[in-house]
Amino acid sequence: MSGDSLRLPLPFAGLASDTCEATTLYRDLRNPLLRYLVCLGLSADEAQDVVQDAFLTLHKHLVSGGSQENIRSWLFRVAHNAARNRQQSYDRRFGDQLDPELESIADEATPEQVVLEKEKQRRLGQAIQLLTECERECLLLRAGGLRYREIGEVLGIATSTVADTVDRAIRKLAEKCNV
Amino acid sequence: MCDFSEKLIAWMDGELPDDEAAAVDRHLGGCSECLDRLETYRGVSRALAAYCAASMETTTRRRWPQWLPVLTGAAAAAVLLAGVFQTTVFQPVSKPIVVQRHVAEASPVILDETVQQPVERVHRPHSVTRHKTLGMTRQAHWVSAEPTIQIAIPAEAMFAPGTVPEGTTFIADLRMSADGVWQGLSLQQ
Repeated sequence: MSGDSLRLPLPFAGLASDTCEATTLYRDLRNPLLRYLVCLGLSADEAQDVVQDAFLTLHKHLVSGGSQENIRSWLFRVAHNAARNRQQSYDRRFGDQLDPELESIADEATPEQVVLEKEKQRRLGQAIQLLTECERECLLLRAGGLRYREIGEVLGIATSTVADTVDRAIRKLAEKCNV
Repeated sequence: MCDFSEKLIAWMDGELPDDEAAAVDRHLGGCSECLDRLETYRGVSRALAAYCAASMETTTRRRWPQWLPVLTGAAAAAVLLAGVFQTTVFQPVSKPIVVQRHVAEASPVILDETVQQPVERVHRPHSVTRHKTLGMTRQAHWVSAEPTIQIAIPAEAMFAPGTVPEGTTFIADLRMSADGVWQGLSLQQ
């Protein structure tokens, strides 16, 4: 056998280069995707399944020569649509109020501060339930770091509509939560 | 309500055109009402981000042990890389394929002359037989008779510092049949 180097035309080669970019995408977007899906109402297992399927779909998309532009919004759109399909399949309504445990509060918080913070979270959770589906999704995608244009691509709405929806949703939460 | 109040959230998110953003900048210099509203909107955004993070942490902690995301990520990355390998290695090629022997040091194998890879590819030394199935007529270039690939994946290539112990490397052991169908995947540390 010779000692020459192995050359393979990697399908990720065009994605600003190579599999390093693929692992970077996975590393950078896995948690934001999981967080979005969990906040939509998927269980941990379902969210994990959807994220893995989304990355496998991305692989097929790139191998078949699909566009490499706006990969972030592409991945979120695939995950979003998969979550919607699960909702329709199981006839479930997403958006059940989550009950986050407040372990993020600093250890030195007083009991009063813990109670106040818990109450704030409870009111915020209730306010989120009162948002429309589009308002909730826009805010969750915005919390995931997407720009308005990307949010529009994920949800299939105009960028100006995203701006109006985000504005309306934030005002609603501000009014109900007295933040 | 101030005329600029409708633009505050878009300004906060950096979504306004430059000229409108500059106008809001100037306005905020002299409008306490808008400054108060802006602070409220920032508070809501922070609270929402904390709510999402806490929900995620609670939901995943209830279901997954701490080490599972690490191995799951390594397995998913190995499958992704295996998929890359499967769709490329078994395609007929017009030019000979050459192989780099395994090198003991941890430097990455160059898979493309313009790109360096973060993983180390290990090929087991098998006799040269598959070149016939690929229609190649020249010898002295390796194609495995028993395609078994081990891919070493440095943990730091995939995970944030501190997520896994330093120096951890996952070995994905991928086995394929002669017709290119994946037979199995095992992941070891």
